[in-house]
Amino acid sequence: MKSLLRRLGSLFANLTLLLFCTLTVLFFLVRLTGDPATILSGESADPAVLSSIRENLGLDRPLWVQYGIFWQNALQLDLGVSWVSGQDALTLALERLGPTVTLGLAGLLLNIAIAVPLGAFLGATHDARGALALAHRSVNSIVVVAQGVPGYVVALILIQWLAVDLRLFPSTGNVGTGSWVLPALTIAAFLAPKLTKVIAVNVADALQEDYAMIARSQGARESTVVLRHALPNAVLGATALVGTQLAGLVNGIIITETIFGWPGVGRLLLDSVLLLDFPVVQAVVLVTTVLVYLANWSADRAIEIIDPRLAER
Amino acid sequence: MKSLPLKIALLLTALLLLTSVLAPAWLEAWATERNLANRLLPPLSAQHLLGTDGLGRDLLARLLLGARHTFGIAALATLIAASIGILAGVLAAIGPRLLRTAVGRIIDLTIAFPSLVLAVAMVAALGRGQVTLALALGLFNWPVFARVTAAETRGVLTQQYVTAAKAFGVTPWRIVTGHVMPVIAPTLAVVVAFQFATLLISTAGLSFLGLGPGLGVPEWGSMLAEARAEMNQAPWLMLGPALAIAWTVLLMNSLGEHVARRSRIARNELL
Repeated sequence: MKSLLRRLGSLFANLTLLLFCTLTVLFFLVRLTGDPATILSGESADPAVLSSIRENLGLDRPLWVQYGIFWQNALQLDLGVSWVSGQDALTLALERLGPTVTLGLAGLLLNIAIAVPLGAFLGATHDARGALALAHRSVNSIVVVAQGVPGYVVALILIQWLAVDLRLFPSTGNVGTGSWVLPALTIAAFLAPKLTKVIAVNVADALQEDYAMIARSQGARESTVVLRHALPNAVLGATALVGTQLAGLVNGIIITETIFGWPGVGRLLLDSVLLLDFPVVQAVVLVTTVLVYLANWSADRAIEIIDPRLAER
Repeated sequence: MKSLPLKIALLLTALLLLTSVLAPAWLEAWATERNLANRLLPPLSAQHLLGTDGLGRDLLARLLLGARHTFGIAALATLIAASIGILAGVLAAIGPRLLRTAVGRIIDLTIAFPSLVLAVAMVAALGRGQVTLALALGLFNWPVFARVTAAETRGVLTQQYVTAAKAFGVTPWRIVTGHVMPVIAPTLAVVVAFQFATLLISTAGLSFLGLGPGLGVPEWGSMLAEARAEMNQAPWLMLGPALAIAWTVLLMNSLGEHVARRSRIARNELL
């Protein structure tokens, strides 16, 4: 077991490397667009206006000098101001973080609430006979089909059915408790099929283990064996998925926020991209990168505390 | 787990591939022909089997031509991601010590990175288009391929026949192409199939958000977005592109399952 100090040291080193790579990619990405000055001033701008904008932004200097200045500013947490509203780009991105994080957590919890029972059922009934086998097959086909249906299609179906036809929930914005339901369901739809499958396989495997046999031999009921012995181990095994699930979560959030007009960073990213507001795009990408990395790191540490065996990996 | 029979899955994939590569000119003409008098016809109308969209264009033709765009973009993105990833994976397994650590660390750092965020930024920077979209998705989705390739290559390198080959003076490059690649090919094929499915969802997703090849191109994701605009009058319009995406993803997943089962690869290791 490594000491906490070493852990924090490696966290810092990795984060620095990640930030360096991301910011460098971003810097050159923005310069690929051609001339930001033309974007800022419109197609038919006065050449004098163009050159004054270039001078203001430092675009008239050599690329490597610009890269140096970019870093100098970035280290002071200055990513420039929005080309559209003139507000500080980083502040804009940080302000929109709250709705995204809460929506993400809601979606994640819903995902777990759907996937764990379904996975436990599928894993426990995978060699069942009779009526249970039929139930297993139907649930399994639903999961297989759900894996092929992207979350944004699920969102459109939910809007048509629950918002337009039944008028149960609002379909856009963040107004009241009801508006959480459809976006959170959409995010769960992006994540749940994969988690369900992994938990199902893990439960089925765990039921073959010695500890399950011993519990049965001591007269434990099959439901107790599944719920008390197989499922906790299966869920722990599924924590290996945390990284990919987090990445999937963020990918899902971008699309979900845009569909539902949710006031978070995902929609800010899309809006800024469509307006070619690059300082804000940079700020959002930076904030998301750091957040996802920290979330991953904390998840790994939490899992190690819950199951010290995994720390040895 | 039950999935499509292998022969049917292969046949359908071949058909999709043929449609996307060979899409004839008459299909293009048929798909772009507008007739505002015939807009929003329901399915099973005379002359329009699946009905028409908001501009009176034939839905069936647009769905077929959409295979070229959606399937083609996802295929190109997979090709890009696989090429970079396999190369990086091999380097992480056999390269000089310093390179090995560097590549390994970059893989670990980027594997859980939300690729869509950077892809969105890149499409914004390069402008919309089929190739840009494929490039943006491919460039940020290689770490999965790299991780699997590196892990599998390291496994093969511990085999005795590799040690024997080394003793005979076979170069590292020849060992990789002659001894490692044939062994890990089935595993890579499974990853390709599953990643293809994921990238197809991302391709259509980005187009759905308005970052696709552009206006009027019958890409399944942008068709879905167009259908959404007509949702109140013609809710069935969403079904075509939604089913096309879902079917192709299921097809790719079941192909992956088949390869995995045939070569006895534990699917869980690849997730």
